[in-house]
Amino acid sequence: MTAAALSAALMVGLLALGMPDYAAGGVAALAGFALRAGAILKGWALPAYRR
Amino acid sequence: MNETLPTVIGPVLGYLDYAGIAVFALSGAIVAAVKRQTLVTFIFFAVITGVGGGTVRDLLINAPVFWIEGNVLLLICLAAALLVWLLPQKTWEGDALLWLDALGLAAYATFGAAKGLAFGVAPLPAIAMGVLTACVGGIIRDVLTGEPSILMRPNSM
Repeated sequence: MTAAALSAALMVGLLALGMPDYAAGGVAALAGFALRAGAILKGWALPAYRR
Repeated sequence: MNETLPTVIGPVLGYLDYAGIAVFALSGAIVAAVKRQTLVTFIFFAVITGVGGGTVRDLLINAPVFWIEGNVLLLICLAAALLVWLLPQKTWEGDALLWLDALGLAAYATFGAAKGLAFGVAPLPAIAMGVLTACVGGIIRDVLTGEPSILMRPNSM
């Protein structure tokens, strides 16, 4: 979910900044995949609710 | 891609769409294999996981639903199901499913957001379209098989 949100947000943001679609798509997809890969390999996770 | 899409979606983004559908179709077929299902169930899970998210997205943004406009996308799902069916168990055991999901997630989130923008959706809902595209296929697959979905896993980043 977080990785998908990162990819989608980067895509929209980079296109808004005027980056061509193939470059924005490459950066956004790689960033989302890297975040997910970190979660799989190193257990990266957002803090959960504890109150 | 087809001519109904404005210029935001070039050929490179089209490949992301194919990549997303292929890896999600493979992941659906692998789940059917884990559950020792028949070839028909392999195909069903490959199709529903591959096209599920994009279908919801296209219905929401009033786009023609992407996989009913030609034969190619369903053929990709059929090929993925057959491939997993023919492979021995050791080729897809272990973390293959996680990594295929990771690839599909990144490709579909990126493509889904771009397609939302291309159909005139505002930036924030376009981001939501990307997330939907990436998550819904896997969620349908996991709910059907009774697995905890990616939404509810502790490290779901």
